[in-house]
Amino acid sequence: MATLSLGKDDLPTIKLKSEDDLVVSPFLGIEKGAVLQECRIFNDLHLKLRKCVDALVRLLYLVGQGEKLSSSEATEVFFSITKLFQSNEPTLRRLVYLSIKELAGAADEVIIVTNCLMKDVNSREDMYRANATRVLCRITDSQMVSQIERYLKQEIVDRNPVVASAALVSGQHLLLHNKGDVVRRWISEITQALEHPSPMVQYHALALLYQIRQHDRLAVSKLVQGLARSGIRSAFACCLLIRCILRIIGETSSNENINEYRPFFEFIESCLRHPSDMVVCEAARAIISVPGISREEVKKTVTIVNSHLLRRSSVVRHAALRILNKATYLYPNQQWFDPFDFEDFLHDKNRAITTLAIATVLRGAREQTIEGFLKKIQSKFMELPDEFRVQIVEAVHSLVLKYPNSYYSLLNFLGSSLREEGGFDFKRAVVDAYFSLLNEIPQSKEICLTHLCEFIEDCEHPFLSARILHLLGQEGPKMSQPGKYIRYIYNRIILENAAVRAAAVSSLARFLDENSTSKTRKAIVVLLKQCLHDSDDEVRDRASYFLHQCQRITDEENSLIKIDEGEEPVSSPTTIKEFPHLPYSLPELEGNLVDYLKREDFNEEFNVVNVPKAEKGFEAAEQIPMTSVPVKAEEANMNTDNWGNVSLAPSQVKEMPSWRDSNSRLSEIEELASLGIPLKTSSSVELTEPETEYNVTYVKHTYRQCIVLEFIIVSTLEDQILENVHIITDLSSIEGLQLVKNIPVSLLKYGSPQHAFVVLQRLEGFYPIGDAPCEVRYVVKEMIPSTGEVDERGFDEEYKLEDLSFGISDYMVPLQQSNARFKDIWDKFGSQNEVRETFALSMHQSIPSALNAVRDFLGMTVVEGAQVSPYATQHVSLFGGSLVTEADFILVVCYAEFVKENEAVILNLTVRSEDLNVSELVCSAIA
Amino acid sequence: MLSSIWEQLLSWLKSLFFEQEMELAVLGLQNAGKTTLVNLFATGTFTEDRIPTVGFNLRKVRKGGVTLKVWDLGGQQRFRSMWERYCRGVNVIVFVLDAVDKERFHTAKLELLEILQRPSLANIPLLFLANKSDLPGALVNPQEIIQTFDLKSIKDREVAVYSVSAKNRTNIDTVLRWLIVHNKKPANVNNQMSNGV
Repeated sequence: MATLSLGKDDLPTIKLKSEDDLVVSPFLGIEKGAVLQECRIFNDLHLKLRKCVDALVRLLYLVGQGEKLSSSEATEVFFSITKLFQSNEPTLRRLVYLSIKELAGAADEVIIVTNCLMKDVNSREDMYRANATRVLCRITDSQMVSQIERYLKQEIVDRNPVVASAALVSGQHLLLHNKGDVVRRWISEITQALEHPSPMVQYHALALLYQIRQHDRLAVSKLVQGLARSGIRSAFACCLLIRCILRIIGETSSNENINEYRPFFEFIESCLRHPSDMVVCEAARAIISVPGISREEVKKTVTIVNSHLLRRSSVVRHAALRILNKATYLYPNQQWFDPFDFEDFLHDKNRAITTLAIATVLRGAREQTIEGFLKKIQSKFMELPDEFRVQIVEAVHSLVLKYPNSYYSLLNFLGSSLREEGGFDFKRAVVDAYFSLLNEIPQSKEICLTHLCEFIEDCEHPFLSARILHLLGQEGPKMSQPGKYIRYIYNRIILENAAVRAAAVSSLARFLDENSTSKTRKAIVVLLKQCLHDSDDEVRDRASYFLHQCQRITDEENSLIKIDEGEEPVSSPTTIKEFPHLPYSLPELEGNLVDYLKREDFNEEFNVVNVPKAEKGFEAAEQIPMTSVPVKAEEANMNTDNWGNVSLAPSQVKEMPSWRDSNSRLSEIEELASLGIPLKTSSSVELTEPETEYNVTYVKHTYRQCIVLEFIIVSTLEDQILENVHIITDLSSIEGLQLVKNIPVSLLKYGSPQHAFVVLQRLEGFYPIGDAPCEVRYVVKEMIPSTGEVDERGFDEEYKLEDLSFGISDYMVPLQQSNARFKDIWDKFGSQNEVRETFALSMHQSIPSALNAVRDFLGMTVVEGAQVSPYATQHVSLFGGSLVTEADFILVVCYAEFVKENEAVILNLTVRSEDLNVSELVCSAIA
Repeated sequence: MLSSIWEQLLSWLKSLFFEQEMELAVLGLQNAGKTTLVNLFATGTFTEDRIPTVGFNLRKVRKGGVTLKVWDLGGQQRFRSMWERYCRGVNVIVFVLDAVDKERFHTAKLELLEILQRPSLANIPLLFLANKSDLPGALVNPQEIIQTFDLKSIKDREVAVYSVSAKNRTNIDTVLRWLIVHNKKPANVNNQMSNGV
C-alpha cells in the first residue's frame, strides 16, 4: 500500500520534469535496421538530397554511438554510399567523406572509391581536396599508396594551409598503419613545409618529420638544432620540439653528454619566457624532469611556475600545479612552496585543481605540519566528488608509508572518511589503504581493525563487508582481545544478507585455533550452532562444516588426553582451515556430487577418489592475488551470483557427470588397462550439434606412446537401437598417428550413454598436429518403443561428426613447479635453445581471452601472470609445461608478452627448452 | 491498340516536363578503352588516357534531351567482383572489348557470362562494343564477334553488337543514337539482334 501511494506522488513530478526539458535528442530511438533500410535510397535513380543527408547523419550517429555493423552490412551500405558521388552538393559530399572514413574499417573493398577521391583531390575546391586526401589515405592499401603518392607530395607544398596539413597528417596516418614506406621519400617536401607561413602546417610538418626520423638520433638532433636556432612560430611545434629534446636528453645517461646538449637545454630555458603559457608549462615540465639537473635550475623553474598559479585560466593553473606535483615527487626532500599559499586553492571553483592542490601539499608536506593541514582540508574533502576523494585517499596512503610515525593522525583522517557518505569506489579506496597499512605498519593493526569493525557495522557494500570479515578472521585471532572482534562478526551474522553472513561464519570459525581458550571455543560453538537455523543454505552448510571440524578436533584432544593420562593436556596441532585446499578440480567435484545426489542411493558413501585431480594450471589461474580481492576464494565456494564471476557455467555442470570416473572405466577395459593411468585427460569436446539424432562428445587421454580417444555416444531416437557402433577416423592427413585399436559399443539404446574407444599410436619422435575427419558407423534396427519389439532386419548407416583435432596441448603435461624455479630453468636452458616468434591473435579482443586461449592451446600452466584486467593493454605471462616423450618429459618454458593493438592482441612468444627442436615445435604449433 | 497510343502520348507528355534520365554501367577487362569511350561520349574529344581506373568513374552526359548517368567501372581483376553492385537497376549494361587483344577473349567471355547470369541483372539489355576497330588485326565483323562470344546463347535479354573505334569515332554516333532510342521505348524481351557495321 505504501509503495502504491508513493508511486502516485511521484507521478506529477516526473511529468513536470519532462515538460521542463523539452529538448529531446533528434536521434532518440534510432535503430540500426531502420537506418540501414533508409540508406537504400542512395541507390535511387533520382537522388533526394535532403533525405540522403538525413540518412547519412543518422548512420554516422549510430556508428559514433558504438553500434557495430557486421562486415556484410557495412559493405552493403558502403557501396550505396559510393553512389552518392554523383552529386556535387558540398554538404552531402562532406558527409560521404565522413561515412567512408567510419566504414573503412568494417566494409570490404573500400578501395573502389579511390578513383572518385583522386578526382576530388585534383579538383579546385580546397575543402574537397583536404577532405578527400584524408579519406584516400584511410582507404588505401600498401599497393595503392604508390599510385596516390604523387598527389600527396604536391599537396604537402600547397599554398593552402588546410590542404598542406591534411596531406601531412595523412602521411602520419600512413606511417602509423604501416602503409607509409613512401612517406620516407618526402623529406624534402616536408622540410619545405616547415617554412610554411601557417603555424599549423609547421607543426604538422615537424610532427611528421620527427615521426619519420625518430629512430635516427643523429637526424633528430640535427633537426632539433636547426629549428631551435631558426626559431619557430607555432606554439604546438614548440611544445613538440621540447618533447623531442627531452627524449634525446633522456636517452643519454652520462653527464658529459648532457653538456653536449647544452644548446638544446638553452633553447628550453628560452622557452620559459615564451608568450604562450602552454609552451612555458611544457618547458618547465621538461626542465624538472631532466635527470641530474642542478637544484638552482629547478628552483628557478619552480619560481616561474609558481607565478602561473595565479593565472585566470584554470587549464594553466592545473598544468602549473601538475608540474609542482611532479617536482615534489621527484625532489621530495625539498620544500617547493609554502602549504599555506595553497589555501586559496582549497576554495578554487575547479574541483580538479582543489584535489591536485591537496594531493600536492600532502605529498610535499613535512611531518610536523600534516596534522594541521589534514584538519584544514577535512571539511573541504567532504564536498568533493568521489573520484577526487579517491585521489586524496591515495595521497594520504602514500604519506603514511612515508612517515610511519604519524600514522595515528592519518588513520584518524581515513577513519573519519570511512564514516562519511560515499560511493563504492571511494570506500574501496579507503579500505584498500587500510589493508595495505595493516601489513606495512604492524603497530597500526589494532586501530585499523577497530576502524574497519566500526565500518562494517554500517556498510552497504556486501563486497567490502565480506573482505573485511575475511581479514578479521585472519588477523583477529592473533590480536590481544579476540573476543572484541567476535562480537562484531556475530553482529553481521544477525543483521546482514546471506553472502555476508556466510563470510562471517567462516571468519568466526577462524577463531577456533590453537590459541583460543576453551571458553571462547565454547562460545563460538554456541554461535555456530545458532547459524544452523539460518535461512540460507550456504550459511548453514558452512556452519555445520565448521562445527564438524571443531567436533573432530575436540575428539582428537580427548583421545590425546586419554592416552597421555596424568600429563598436561596437549593442545592439538590441528587447526581449522577455512576450506582445505582440495586437490580436485572443483567443477568435476561438483558434477560428481550432483550426480551422487541424483542417484538418491545414500547407502553407499560418496567416493571422493573417483574425482579426477585438478590440473595445476587450472588452479593457478583461479588463484586470486591477495591485494585485490582476498575474499574471492570464499565467493567461489559460496555459489552466490552477487559478484557475477562465481565459478560454474551451467553447461559445464551439465556435461561433467558423464566424464566422471573415466580413469576407472579405462582400467575396466582389458585392452586399455595395460596402458596404465593416463598422463593427462583433456576436457571434453562435442562432435555433434546440440539436439540432433545422436550426441557424441569425446576426450583424449594422453599416454606416453599413444592417445586414447574416448567417445560418449547418446542416441535420442526412441524407436531405434544401434548395434556395433564404432568410430571411424581418417588419419591420412596427420603424419605420425596410427590406428591401433577400435573398441565399439555393441548395443546402444535410446537415452543411455555408451562409451566407444579408439586407440592411436604415436610414432616415435612425432607430435602430430591437425584435424582428422571422423564419423560414426553402426547398424540401425527399428524398434517399437511401447512394446520393445525389435525388427531384426538392420541396415548399415553412418553419421558424420565434426573433425577431431590434435594440438600440442595433447602432448603437454602441465608443469608443477613453483615460481622461484622458473627463472632458474629459464637461465639453465639459455638462449641457444630459444625460439622467438610474434603472432597477431586477431580473434581476441582482450588480453585475458588471448591469455586463456594460449594457455589452453599450449596445455601449459601459467606460472606467473595468470590474472590480467580485461582493459590491460600490455601483459606478461610465464608458462611452463612438460612435453611427453617415449621415456621421459622435456621441460618447456615460455615467456609470453601480450600487447593489445587496435582490435587484435599481439603475442610475442619466447620459448626455451632442453632441445631447440622442441622449442621450435611449440612455437610452430601456434602458427 | 488504343492503350499503346495513349501510353506513347503519356510518355511524350512526360518528356516535355521531366528530363529523361538513363543509367549505364560500362564494364570490360582492363585496357579495353572504357574510360576513353565514356570521355568521348561526354566531351566529344578523344584523349588517350593511360591511367587505369582504380575503382569507378562517374560521368553525367547530356545527349538529345537525355541525361546519361554512366558508371565507368575499373576493369582490373580485383574490381570485377564489384561490377554487379553498380549494374543493378541500370537501363543498359555496356560491355567494352579490346578487339585486338585476342589472347584475353576467353577471359572476357567468362567475365561477361558470369555477370549476366546474376539474377539481380536479369532482363537488362546488353550493349556489346568491340572497341579499337581502327587497329590492324582487330575483330570487326559482327557475325564473327557474335560467334566468338557465343552471344546467340543469351536468351533472356536484348543484345546489340557494334564494332566501334573511339579514336576514329567510328560508329560512336550510332551507338549513342541506339542508347537514346533505347531509353524511350520500353524494354521488351524479344532477343532481337541488332547489328551495326
